[in-house]
Amino acid sequence: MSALAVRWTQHHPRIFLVLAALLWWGLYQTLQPFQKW
Amino acid sequence: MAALPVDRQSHLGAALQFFLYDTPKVLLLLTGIVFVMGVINTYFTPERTRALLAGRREGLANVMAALLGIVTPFCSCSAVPLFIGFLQAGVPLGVTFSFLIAAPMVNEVALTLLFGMLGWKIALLYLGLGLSVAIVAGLIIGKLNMEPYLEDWVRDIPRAEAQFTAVEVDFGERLAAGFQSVRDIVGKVWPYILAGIAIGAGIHGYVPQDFMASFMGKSAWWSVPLAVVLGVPMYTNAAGIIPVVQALLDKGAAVGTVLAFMMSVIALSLPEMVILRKVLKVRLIAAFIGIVATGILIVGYVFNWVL
Repeated sequence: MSALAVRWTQHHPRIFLVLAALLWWGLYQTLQPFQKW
Repeated sequence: MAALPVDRQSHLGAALQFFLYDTPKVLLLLTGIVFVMGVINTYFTPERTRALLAGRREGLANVMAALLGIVTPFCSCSAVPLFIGFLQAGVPLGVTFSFLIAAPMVNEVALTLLFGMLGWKIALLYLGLGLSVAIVAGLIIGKLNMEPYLEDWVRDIPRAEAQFTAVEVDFGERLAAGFQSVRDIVGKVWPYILAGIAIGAGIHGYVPQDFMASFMGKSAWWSVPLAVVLGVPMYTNAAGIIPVVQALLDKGAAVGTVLAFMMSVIALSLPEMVILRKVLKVRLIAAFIGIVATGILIVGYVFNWVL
């Protein structure tokens, strides 16, 4: 599975970058409601 | 957090909230920016930076050196070979210092954390003032003609051409470099971050509101030099100090004083001075510390006066 993911990332670096950026942004946004608890 | 048997309004509750909210936020910010900078760094290797600065006159080159200091990968451990490489390639001493001051102080970790925790205005001010200190300090060191205060073996090293041949790197390899720098940098600084957030959480929960105003506030003129002096022997990096800075600001410390403290901790570290002693005589190190400390003092006072 992980070997497949690495190969896919290497073959499609730009798509990977966009997906990773979206995931990162989503995670960051989910933290915001906890700021004021 | 609600599941914990702790009163939200208590000291412990406030400290825990700071710790539990800030840890994932800081780690997430750090991982994101270190990855992006790891990719950007593949475009700005130290060899390329050296070739860009070689043979240039002081002035514009100091500005270039300080700006390149932001994007060129740097750690205190590589300060000596980098320093020698720059001088060997004909980069003037003052320009080399502009780079050496800017590289640890105005880095991506400091800027991202300042942006994430204190907002873009403070991040931008820090960027502008950090670059100014690096540029002006480098210009002054250049004007003082301090080459005789390099260690003799450094002065005697024969000059070498700063050759740089660009190697074709595909985008997949640049991404791999991004992953590698996340592993290297986040893997190295996370204990500092946890320690910094824990200290910040302690200040946040247990120090009374406005407590810091009395001795780190604007009215205490002596607090800026004290902050600079205290910062020198402290050894941490931007990631460790910024959560503490945030907590100090919350408790009424003045922005200028706190930023002067932060710059002093990061830019004037004792271990780096010990490393640089291999290539510089004591007088040049003293001049370097004196000039940078004066710059930081001015930054602290100006911030306190303006804001």
